[in-house]
Amino acid sequence: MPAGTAMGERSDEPRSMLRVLTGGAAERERDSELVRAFLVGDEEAFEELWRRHEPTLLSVVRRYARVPEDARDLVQRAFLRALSASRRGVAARGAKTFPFKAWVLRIAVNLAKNHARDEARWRREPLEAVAAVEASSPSADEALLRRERERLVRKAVLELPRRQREVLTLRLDADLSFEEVAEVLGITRNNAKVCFHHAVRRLRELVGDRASAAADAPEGETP
Amino acid sequence: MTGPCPKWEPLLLDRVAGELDAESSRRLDEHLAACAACRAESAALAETLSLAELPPPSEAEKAALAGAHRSALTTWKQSVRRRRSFAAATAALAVAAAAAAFVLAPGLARRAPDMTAPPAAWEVPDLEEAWSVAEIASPSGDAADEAPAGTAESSGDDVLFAELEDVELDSQ
Repeated sequence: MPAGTAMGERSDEPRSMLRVLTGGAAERERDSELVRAFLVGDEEAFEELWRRHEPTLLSVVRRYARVPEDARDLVQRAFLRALSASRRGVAARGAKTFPFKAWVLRIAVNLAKNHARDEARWRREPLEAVAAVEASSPSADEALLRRERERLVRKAVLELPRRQREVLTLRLDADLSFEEVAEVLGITRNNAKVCFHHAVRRLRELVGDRASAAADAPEGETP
Repeated sequence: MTGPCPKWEPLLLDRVAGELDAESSRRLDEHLAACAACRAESAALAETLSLAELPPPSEAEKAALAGAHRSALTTWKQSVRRRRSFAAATAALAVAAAAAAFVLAPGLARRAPDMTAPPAAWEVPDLEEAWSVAEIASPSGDAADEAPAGTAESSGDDVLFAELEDVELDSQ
């Protein structure tokens, strides 16, 4: 799973042990320094800024991308828009520090959502179709079953209400803390947590319903 | 199948959210040891998130991102050049307008009618001369040379540049 270096390395801990981050003023300050340096022509600052945020950006948009090129395009556009917003902040208000990471992730979330809507790809296979085949499993049957269940759940994620989907994917895909999720989406930490609970509960119900339906369906009729 | 105990369900959700403190975690574990329904629900919630999680980026995704920062940087530079050209052209136009105003203003001031002088006597115009210098308007005039609306070329870069200028953030 990708890890944003600005966020710390993502561990291989099980999902039940999602790490809790507190964000960091130092990280924000470093981002701001890099943005200011880039805006006066320092291209190395651009590269460092890109390295810091590209993995997290990719993890946010790839769920909505049908092909890798879509994901790349979304990452680039989010990054450029966030830089443009930063430039305006510096030019208009002389801003020294700004939440670049929150901006770029928020833009990425919106772009990805719009991309999926515009391309009418909600019901098509996202990127996991490319990578799922890499999963190993004790037997082919188990692997097939597992893949089908993954497909159902990931499809259900895209069908969640907007806020629940945003919170869940920022937490699950980008590995953000609830504080960071709240900052990106402009909501309270408690609201983010409640949305996460609702999302998980809803997925759990959907998974249960669909798993039952799939189990009951005659062979060959699996959706 | 019975569901989880309502009292413990929030803690089950907190656990998969990574929000459970050590003391709550210990109490939950004690309960799970004695409650099969909550144990099943705990496992189901963890599996649900495990199923929802995307696999690591594939080689194809990594390859697509290779060099993406360079093309993003190039796009940024082009947009900066474009913005500077526009700013320079605007500034030049402003200077030219100011210069023109500076040169013409005294002449215009001199030509200002003397409101204190008596008006000149009105004379009958020479209609023959007026007709000879008049131009007949053509129905197929210059307007026909103009490109019809909506045919202007628009490259992908133009779209991207437009996006760059179209940033709206709801919060700072």
